[in-house]
Amino acid sequence: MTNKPVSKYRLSFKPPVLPTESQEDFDKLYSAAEQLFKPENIFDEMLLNDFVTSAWEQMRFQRCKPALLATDYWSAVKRVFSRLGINDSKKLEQFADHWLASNEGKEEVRKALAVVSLDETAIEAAALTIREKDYEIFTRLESTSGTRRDRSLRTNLELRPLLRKLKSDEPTEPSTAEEVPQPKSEAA
Amino acid sequence: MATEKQIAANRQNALKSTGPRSPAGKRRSSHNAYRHGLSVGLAPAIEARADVEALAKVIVDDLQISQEDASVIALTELDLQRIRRVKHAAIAMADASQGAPAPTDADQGAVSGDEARMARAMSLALPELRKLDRYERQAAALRHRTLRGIARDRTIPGK
Repeated sequence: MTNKPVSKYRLSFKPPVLPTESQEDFDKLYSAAEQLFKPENIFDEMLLNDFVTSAWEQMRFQRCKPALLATDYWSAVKRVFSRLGINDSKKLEQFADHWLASNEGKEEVRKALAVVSLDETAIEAAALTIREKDYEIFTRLESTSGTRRDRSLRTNLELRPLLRKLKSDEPTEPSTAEEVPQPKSEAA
Repeated sequence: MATEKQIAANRQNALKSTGPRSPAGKRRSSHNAYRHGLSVGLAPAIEARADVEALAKVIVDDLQISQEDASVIALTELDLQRIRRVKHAAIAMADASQGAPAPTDADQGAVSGDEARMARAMSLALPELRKLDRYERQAAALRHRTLRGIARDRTIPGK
């Protein structure tokens, strides 16, 4: 693990990196976002931290969604073949075990599915049905993270000229939302 | 089930109660509705006040805004940090509490073992994550409104 980003404005920031995640990837994201925000005061840095945290969390949900389904593939394989009319529980478990055991086993299951014009998408669909509730919440939380990420960038771009300006200065027109560019996809 | 007579006696006795009298009792009862404190954004604990004041001072110096606005921003910022720390801890705890992994497609390269482990941990922590997401949204919205208010004031002549 590398050092966490150092605050220039005495704002404590704990990188949201879990033991199963890459600190190096996080540091790359932080550096890219720092280039985008070019923080000059504590306001910029607060929104930079918001942006990085939200973007990281959004990516975490994106990575976890297929993995969440994969954790139920064993049950999903059984469910697919059960729906196809196989009632022998030993046979169902055999299919499920083969799917997880090796590429050859997978091929065997694929062939069995092909007989009824199906492919492995049927297994994914069954896994989605099993994990429906969790998957829906994952998707919702992914979406709110994305909204927060975009909002932090938009707020920074809209308000930074105004918040830099001292009260004694001439009044300034706020920039419009239309002028605000969307966050770069590679940073998100 | 209580009889009519018992109910009447209970009601009579309840009228005699005036609640806690000692300072310690009052302090205790003031926490009767306390659950976890994460949704109570604008009442910092005594130990957190020093952090709020220190951050508010930095904000005043940096942005040249009123102490009052700076305090709201500092409070919400520290709230956000706290919520994010708790979120992180909720996933880490769920991860640590996991037993032996169930058979997954991870071994076949469809997803990595780390991703499968994280997905399971996040799935276990979902009830907490949902609540924390709501608190995070509230804190971020309050800070956002305050910042917008300050920016709006600066666009009005004479403010």
